[in-house]
Amino acid sequence: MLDTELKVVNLGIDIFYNALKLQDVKVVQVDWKPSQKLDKESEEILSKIL
Amino acid sequence: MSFPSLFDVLIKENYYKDSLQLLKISDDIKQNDGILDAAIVMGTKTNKEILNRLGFNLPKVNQAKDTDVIIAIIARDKKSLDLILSKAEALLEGKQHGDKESAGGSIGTINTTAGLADRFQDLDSAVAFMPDANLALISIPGEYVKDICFKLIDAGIHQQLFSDHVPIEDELEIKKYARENGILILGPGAGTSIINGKGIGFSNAVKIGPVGIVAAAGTGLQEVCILLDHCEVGIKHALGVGGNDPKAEIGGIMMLESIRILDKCDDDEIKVIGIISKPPSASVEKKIVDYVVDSGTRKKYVICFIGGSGSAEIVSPTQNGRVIQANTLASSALAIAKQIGDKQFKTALKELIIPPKILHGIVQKEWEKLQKDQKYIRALYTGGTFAYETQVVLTGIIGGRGDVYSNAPIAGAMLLPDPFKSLDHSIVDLGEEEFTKGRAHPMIDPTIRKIRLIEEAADPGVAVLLLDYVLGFGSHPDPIGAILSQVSEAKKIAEKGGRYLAIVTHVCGTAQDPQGYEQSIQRLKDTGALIMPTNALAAIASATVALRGNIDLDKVYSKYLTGDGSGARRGGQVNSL
Repeated sequence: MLDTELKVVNLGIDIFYNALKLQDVKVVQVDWKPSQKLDKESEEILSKIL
Repeated sequence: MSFPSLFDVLIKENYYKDSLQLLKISDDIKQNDGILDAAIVMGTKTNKEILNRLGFNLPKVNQAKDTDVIIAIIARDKKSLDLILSKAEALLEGKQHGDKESAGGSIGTINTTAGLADRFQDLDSAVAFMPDANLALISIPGEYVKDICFKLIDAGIHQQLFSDHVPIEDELEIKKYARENGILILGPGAGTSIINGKGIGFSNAVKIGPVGIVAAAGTGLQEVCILLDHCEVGIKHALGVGGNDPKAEIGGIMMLESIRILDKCDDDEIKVIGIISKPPSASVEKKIVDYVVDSGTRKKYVICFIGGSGSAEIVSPTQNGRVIQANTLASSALAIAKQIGDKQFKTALKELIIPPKILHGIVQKEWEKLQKDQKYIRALYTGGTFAYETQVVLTGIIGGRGDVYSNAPIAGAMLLPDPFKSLDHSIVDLGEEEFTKGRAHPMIDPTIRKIRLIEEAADPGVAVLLLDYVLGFGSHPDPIGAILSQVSEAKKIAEKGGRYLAIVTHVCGTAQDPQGYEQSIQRLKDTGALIMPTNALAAIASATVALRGNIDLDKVYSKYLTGDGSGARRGGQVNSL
């Protein structure tokens, strides 16, 4: 990484993606979101089925 | 307020948005006619506390859950209020920022965010698009980090983890696996690195030069880099490893890896390596010192365990100056400049030090305006290492002459019982968890410091407000302007009470930073604030004002502002992690 051109995957805050772009660093952005958590009732139903 | 104002709140239940998206929407909303203030935040305890302080002490607010979004608006009239509540809701749902939600796709396809070629909805798609990626910068909630790290290690990608709140057992597991696979893990809680002159995370635009830094102290890394930049000394690589790394539980795994990597760099690239950390655990300190001193490293080193080391004098005199020990960030920069050469050291002494007699004259004008009962320093820091360094300096100077409190106290300081309320001399790190849970870092979101500034100004015992301003990539686009009106208001509040309030500041920035260093300095000067070239000197100046000059400045300088290691040898506190 220190010897080669920096190529960055930015996962999360897009201020950091923009800052890297501003410095001409090659960067891609992952617009991360947490996976949806099931509510308790759905979990119970699923646990009975599976 | 001299005009009528209406408060209302809307709760969006189970609606996750990251704190920066919410901050952006809040800022958009504040620009609308008829809107006096707006805060759109997750319903965490910290955010509810802040909303209460903004006047939203409402049952709806207090009942909101961590997973709810709270839309809180203060408007001039009912029409503006209703209009803006629905606009805020629409912005939250992405209806007015372009639809970023959809794009769909099946397994094996690259799922881009609608209309944007280099934005993706998942990690796999991003890595498929950039298969030669060599660094991942990760800033997601800590509980989700571990699985992603393992996946990236398997893909051969180094990582900088800005994320906080990663369980320490996860951190150890990640770092051990990374080391086995030759992968560098910077963090968790690593806000800052510089690689080949490119800033990663919160970082300043510095010149490229013959210095490498390994730091377990984010703003500490930034401070040493900018101070060297002011002395015309550049940085090749600066690697932030996160505050947990030097603790016994982690064993300094990535500090040692980083030092090894930098020591192997060609001498043409790196001549001097600086190691910056709060005092590590005794076992980690021994590993670092043994490695640097005894294991055949070739380069010159400066080791700074801020405030001193557990063993008081860590470096054998037989090293003939190859390794210098420092005890403040300022003395680290001076020592690194000294290791580079005499010319650079002379420049550093000129740029980073205000001679004691001159400083005394400058601050005397401040303390002469104070009332008898104005005794206390209140430091409101966005940079955690600054809060730490200032405690080191103030506990050393003030000693038995007063109590020093902090929400993150070092040995010799006391814990603030309520982090939202200062006592005596208080050094507040606004980046600590109690202020940031569900919020953007105070280097980005100035709200919490704005509120606190006004509260401190109303206390008749306060003599000095000590503030840091961190410029650079990732930080607020205008950190000076963001709290300028509150600084003016704070002075007016004091004036109404028949008092003068001294404002002492340090700007952590360079001429190349996007916010503009010179303009920032000028705007602060225009407010009448004192601007110090280093945070250590800002702490010393504040103490000199509060103690009305009753300080032996020569002695203080020789302890905290030397570049030859003599300050560290005069003894510091023992604050092992």
